[in-house]
Amino acid sequence: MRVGIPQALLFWTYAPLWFTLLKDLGVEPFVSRATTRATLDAGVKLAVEEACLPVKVFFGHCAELAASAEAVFVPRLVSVEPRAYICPKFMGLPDMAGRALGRQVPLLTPLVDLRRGAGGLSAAAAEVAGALGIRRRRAEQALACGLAVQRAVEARWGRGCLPPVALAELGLLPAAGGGDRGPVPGAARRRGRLGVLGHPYNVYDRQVSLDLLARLLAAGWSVETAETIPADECEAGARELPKELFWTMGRRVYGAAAYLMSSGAVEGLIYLASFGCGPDSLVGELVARLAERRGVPFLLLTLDEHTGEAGVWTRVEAFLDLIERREARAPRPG
Amino acid sequence: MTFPHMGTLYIPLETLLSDLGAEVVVPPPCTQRTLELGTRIAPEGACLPLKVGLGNFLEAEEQGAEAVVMAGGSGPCRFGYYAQVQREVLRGAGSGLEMIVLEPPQGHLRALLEELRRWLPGFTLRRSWKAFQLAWAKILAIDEVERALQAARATEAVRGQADAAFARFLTACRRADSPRRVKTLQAEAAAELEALPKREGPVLRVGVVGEIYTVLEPFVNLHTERRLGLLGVQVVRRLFLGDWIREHLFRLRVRRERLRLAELAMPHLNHFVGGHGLETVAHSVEFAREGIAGVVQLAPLTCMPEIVAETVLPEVTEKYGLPTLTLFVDEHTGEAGLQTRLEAFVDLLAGRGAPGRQGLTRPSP
Repeated sequence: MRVGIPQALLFWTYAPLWFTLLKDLGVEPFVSRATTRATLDAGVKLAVEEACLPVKVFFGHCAELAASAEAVFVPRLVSVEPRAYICPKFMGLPDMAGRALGRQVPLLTPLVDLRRGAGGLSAAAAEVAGALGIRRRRAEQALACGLAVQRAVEARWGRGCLPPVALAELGLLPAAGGGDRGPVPGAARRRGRLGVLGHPYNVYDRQVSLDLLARLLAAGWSVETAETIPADECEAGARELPKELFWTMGRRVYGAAAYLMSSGAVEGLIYLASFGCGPDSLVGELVARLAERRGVPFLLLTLDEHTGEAGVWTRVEAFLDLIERREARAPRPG
Repeated sequence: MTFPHMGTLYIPLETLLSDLGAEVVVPPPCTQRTLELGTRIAPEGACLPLKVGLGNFLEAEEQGAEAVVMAGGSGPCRFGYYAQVQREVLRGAGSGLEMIVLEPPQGHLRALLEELRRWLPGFTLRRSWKAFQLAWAKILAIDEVERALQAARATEAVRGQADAAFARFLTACRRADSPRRVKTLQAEAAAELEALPKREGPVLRVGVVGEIYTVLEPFVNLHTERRLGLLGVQVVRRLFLGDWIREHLFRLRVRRERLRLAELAMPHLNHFVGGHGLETVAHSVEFAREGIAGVVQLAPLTCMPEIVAETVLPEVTEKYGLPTLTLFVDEHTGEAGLQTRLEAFVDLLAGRGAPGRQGLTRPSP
């Protein structure tokens, strides 16, 4: 049975776990092709106008898979840790996708709810197995394998490997060439280091981000993202807020921003937000205010389906010029 | 001490806080100026409840308020974090207001009162219980009279009489000083609304669902309910202030009711999604089964739970033949456009009811 995994939303975070789990359960998982303008257009047609860009992208991938897969993997991600959610849209994603696809293709929609502990993960794996008609005992083994692969991949991030590179190593994405977060070999000249923050599905999707990461690396910049920063540093940074954020990804992004700013590891921060994203509208604001207080150059890019590449890159270049001029004028203390 | 506006919330809240010994500044009613003040300093992508709330705070500060009472939350809806962002934004804008945030996990009455005690010197438990009883009586009375208002608006012979009677009731209720007096006022107002001269002709019943702040604050929804009423429509809704307080501040929503809503929303929406997304779907199904003509969904632009609900609502439309109209409002929503959409929607519903046009289905959006 061919089960399609949309290359969108939390694919960028949890693909190693999902893919391994499905493969070990004996089905044939495969990933939809990289987002293109056509994916985006298909998604826009299927989604309600008010939906955010990432959800539209997700629907575009689902539409592609509906034609080629026997089932599409659309987990209902309520929570991946105690006392936190992901975002309301992830909680209703299977219902929205089911509606958007008009029930053309069966959806595999395990409930992932870890608010009350890691037992929720076993329940989710068992649900997948049950839906596929596989014995539950195999679910535990498959989950253990999946988690081992996921942890190994996350460890690679912590050592500076960008998630798309790690996914390519696993064979989940075509190898993109180039390497890590350092400038690509042959870049014009070495420049400073930047933080590129935002939800992983905005930062790493080359269509959605207008290939920002690759362009920065090609221009000689090094980059840090929320995933390349050790998780405990992110946690510590997030705890600086008077009230904990209740969105897992928002917390990671804020924590990463706080860490990068206090450690002086970056010359500037770029935040990729999606238009209509609830968490981004607040986390982006909090990060912007922190950057202002700390005197760190900050650029907020809000992406939607109408964002043009030329306009965005012009803004980024202006921002980078500003950083370099500032550095030239006054070498950063410490 | 001040607080954000949300429909008639100011009446019981003013009663509660001032009976507890606080000096209360009720923010001036929401106007375009409120919205502009808030929008100027708020994050652009935030939804209207945050922006209008900030406007309320600034206008109350002009009138001498020093602190703001605001509800918190634990997600996944953004509202739960708004107080924190508002605190930052106010500080950044040079406002001296202090935020008092009532968080629901500890938000049982006791924690709420402990936080308030810092601000309320001459406060005793006995006094607080009486204050709470009076405020609660007002909430229930206002909700009841508002239901009567919804019915009266649709049938009044002289436009505006029902709203005028409701406004008089609110003024009297605000001043009322005992639960018994509130009860009397409620009965009088209900009787007055019932006795208004009625017009001839059929009455369409339309359900209103959506995000609670947008539903309850007429300024934010550009008086959608009144507009519908003036079009001869009887508005029906399930979301009232009393419900919101029960579930949001005190988590008293009975388990049975929660299960009932979840069951209604299935199979269209199979999980709660924060805010009132599940209620929107469940109430729409319920309305459809009750034979209501159509449903209007109200929400602030970019509202996450309501976008989920909006996505699956067409299934309810198809299954029950229930037309729905989704209205997302933001600071740019214009009256004329809204009025046109409401009129078109009501025309469509009226046309469906006419003989020989039963087969008319709603064109897909």
